[in-house]
Amino acid sequence: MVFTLSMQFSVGVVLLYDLFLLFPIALKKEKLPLRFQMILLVALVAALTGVVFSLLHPGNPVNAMKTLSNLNNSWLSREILFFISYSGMLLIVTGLQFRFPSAVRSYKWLLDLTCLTGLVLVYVMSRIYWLPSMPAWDSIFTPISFYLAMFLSGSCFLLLFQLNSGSWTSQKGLAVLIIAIPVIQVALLPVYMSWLEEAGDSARQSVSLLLNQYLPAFYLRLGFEILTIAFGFWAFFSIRSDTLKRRNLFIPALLAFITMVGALVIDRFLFYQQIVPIGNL
Amino acid sequence: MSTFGFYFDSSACSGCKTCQVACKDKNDLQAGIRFRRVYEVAGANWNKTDEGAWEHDIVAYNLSIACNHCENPSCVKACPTTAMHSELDGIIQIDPKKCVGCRYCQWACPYGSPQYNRQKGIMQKCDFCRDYILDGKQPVCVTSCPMRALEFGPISQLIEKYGDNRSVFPLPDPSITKPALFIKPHPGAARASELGGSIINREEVKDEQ
Repeated sequence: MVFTLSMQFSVGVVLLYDLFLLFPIALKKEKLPLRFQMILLVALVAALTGVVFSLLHPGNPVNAMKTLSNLNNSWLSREILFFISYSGMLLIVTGLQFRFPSAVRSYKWLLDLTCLTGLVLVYVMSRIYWLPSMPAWDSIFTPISFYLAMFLSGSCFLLLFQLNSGSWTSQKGLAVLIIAIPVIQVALLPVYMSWLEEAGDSARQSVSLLLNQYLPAFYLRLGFEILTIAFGFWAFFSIRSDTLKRRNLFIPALLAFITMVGALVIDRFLFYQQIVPIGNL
Repeated sequence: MSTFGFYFDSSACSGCKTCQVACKDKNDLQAGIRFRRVYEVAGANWNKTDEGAWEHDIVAYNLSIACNHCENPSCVKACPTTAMHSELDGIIQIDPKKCVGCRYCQWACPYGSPQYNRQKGIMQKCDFCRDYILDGKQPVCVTSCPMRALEFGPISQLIEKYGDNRSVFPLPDPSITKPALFIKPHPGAARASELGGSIINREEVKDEQ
């Protein structure tokens, strides 16, 4: 759980940073503010948290290297490959930002490539769960939920991080994402549940688990998502072109970040707990 | 493609679990690890007769399941280290030197066959008692069955003798992995699903690792 969430957060931060913040700076050939340099460092720390967990998972680092042996067939092997590629590129581009903050344009291609690798990583990560033996995971809903988690966590973090230094338009854009993504998540819930109802006995048992044993967690997650939407609206209407008034944005941005973390952690907890293997053997 | 397979006569199985115990003994398995598991399946309804009385409609039978050495093994595809591999004779085996115990094969297998050995930090599973086969003997679960409900042999012979039925409630759709398991279902098995049948000894067979 920690690995998937931290990696999706990391990719979301890097991608939205590239699109919303770095792109305008690169166009104007401006020097990168120190505050912005810290953003990639946070994404790198999140990815390294994933490294620690992934290395511990197979016992020791040597074992982790063995997992690259079945790239032809295993999505887990592919995940490790893309994970190493993404983390390596992120490490390099973060170092370049600190060393050459004025030459953003010269290494922006590497950041773009890191983003692309990150997007593939999130897809590959979702394919690990796309197993016929686990009906509740075996659908397009798995990659959708992973990508939504990626965009939501990235946008909440970036809005909080660039309160005083971001442009008015980028803040507005991030606030729109903070509203739109939980709306999509909430709207997808009944679609997913009705799909599960039609996907066989094991999938129906997953619905039953969610609506009985894990009902409090299910509602808590829904509550957090609705609160994130509400704080997203609050943030959106707090954004002003006047920089002096931007302090108003801090409270809704912080609250949106907190409720987003709560929603994603519970969502991922339920993702793992709802599983009923096919045949229930 | 697997050249060997199991035949299981669910109508003959009494659920004594001798196969399960013999397998544990032969492979010296620690508590909680079962290469072979005997599932007790049961379902029932109460029906009102025309005279107004209530009568039950019970179906109960057993399924003895181990690794089915599938023709399309999802565990082999999933394994990131190639520790889970198919031998030339079609037997799916685990190389303990390569296995890192990530348990992904356990997720991928629809029969719950690979079992995690927490002490060794690796996966283990049935290998058809390969050492016995090489000695010209039968797997221990087959020879120990007092009801002769289990049989082992080349797939072609088993199909010729018993037909090609590989499905019974609640086993997964055999088209997913094409298991080398041929089944004579219990006469009541066809009704088990509509009676809301389920595995009733879940605590006994669940993976405790």
